[in-house]
Amino acid sequence: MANDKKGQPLLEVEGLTISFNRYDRGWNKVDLEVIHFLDIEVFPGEILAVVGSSGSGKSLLAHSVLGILPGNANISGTMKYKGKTLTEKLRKKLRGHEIAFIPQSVDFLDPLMKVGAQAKGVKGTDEQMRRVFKRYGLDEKTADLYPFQLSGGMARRVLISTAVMQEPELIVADEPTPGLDLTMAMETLTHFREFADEGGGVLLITHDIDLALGVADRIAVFYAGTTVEVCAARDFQQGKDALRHPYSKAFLDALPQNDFRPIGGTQPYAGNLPEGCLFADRCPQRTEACGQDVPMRDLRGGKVRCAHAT
Amino acid sequence: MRLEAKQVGFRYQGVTPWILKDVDFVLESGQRIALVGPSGCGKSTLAKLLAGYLEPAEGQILLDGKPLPKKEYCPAQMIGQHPEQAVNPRWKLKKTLTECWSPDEDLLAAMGIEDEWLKRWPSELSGGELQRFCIARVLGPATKFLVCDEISTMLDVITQAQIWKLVLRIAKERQLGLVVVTHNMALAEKVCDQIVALPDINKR
Repeated sequence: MANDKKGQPLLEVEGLTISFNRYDRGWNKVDLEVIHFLDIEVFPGEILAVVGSSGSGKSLLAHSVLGILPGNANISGTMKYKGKTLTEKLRKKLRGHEIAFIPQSVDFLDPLMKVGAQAKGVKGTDEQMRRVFKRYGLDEKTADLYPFQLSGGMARRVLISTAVMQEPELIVADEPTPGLDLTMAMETLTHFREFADEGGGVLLITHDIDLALGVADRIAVFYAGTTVEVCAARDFQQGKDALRHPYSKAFLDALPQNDFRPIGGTQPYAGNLPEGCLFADRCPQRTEACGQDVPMRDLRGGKVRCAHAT
Repeated sequence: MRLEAKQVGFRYQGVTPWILKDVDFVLESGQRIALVGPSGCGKSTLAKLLAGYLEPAEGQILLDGKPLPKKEYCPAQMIGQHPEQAVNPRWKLKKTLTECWSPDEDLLAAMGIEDEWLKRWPSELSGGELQRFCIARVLGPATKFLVCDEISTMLDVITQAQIWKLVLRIAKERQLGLVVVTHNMALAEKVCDQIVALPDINKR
């Protein structure tokens, strides 16, 4: 797997902060900051897997790249695609062509439109649709069905087909595998791998970390709206000692095929974040230094946001 | 107690192909059985039958030899795959949570449910957060059997381990019977004491 970080990143997100403006009491409005100073990069030819706690802002990251957040979201920080700042206008031009999105929920399909037409979109041809459907094991008759007539796994495959129809350069996949059985899930991820090997970039958001490890080049670990660690996928495969952040280590311990051992506590609520390290109240290595701002730093070929990691 | 599917068959509208046919399945109190199989083999359908959400077209679902009660709290409760579809979108979550019983503070803390969330609408929480409400609301004292249909796929692994630890502790204390539908074999082995492949008992 190529991971020399050569050349320009395909997608570069720097200092992304997202907050939602919502009503508190009466006419008062408050800002709820859900993503804080998040940095990630996706290089051509690589799969970056994003893992992390639920509610840590993984889907929000995907939606902000595509520019489909709701109107009450405030976004700051910079986002670049091939070195060019992603503006609303550029996003509109790119999405659906160069940037493709596989949404998390099968609710994203239009219930009143046959799935073949949806997959084809505006610019696809019947020929392309048949080829892509065949690749994902969908029967030719599937094209004439409506979303409610599909099983969960079929709907998932239609969503994937929709995304790869236009031969994009960047795929943003938000949990593409749940509802698929193991063979199908593995096959989907293998397609992503082939796509990346041909020079594309994939941002793969997933909970199925054991599957993701098999195909990803790098892993970004999210916690409470920020990245706590970015590392090579092989560090996860090697086990706890190769990892840097205590949360990533706890993550590995909690896998059912490992110890299935949870740590106590919960992720802090976005409206009530502690000062300094966000993971401090659940961390075994906590000291006073954790009360300060903890910047992201380079460590052993990866990046970590922890004062104690060695 | 004993929850039993006896020669159960199911299909939609009496014309479509059989999804389940002549399925026999027995769950005793205190037993934990994982139900596995490829997608589309009828796992969720059997789960819905066992919890009384669907009526079998043939055969019977029996609780201690009697049909499931229709007009009172059903002792076999199901936790579904899509929490966002299992809560009333027009109820704030406090109402959803306390529909059948009032969970105490300790349980809410152990489930990781923040006080703040009780005042919100379902659309304002993530899938993983909603699922905790769906689990907490069925852990009342009248529940004797839990049917868990892929309840932890939308959770991250730490929360998954936390919630399973808690569910297993409560299941042990109260001798609940558990049916666990999952694609994750590692999870099935960790959580259950018996694994049943549905295609083996389904004679469709």
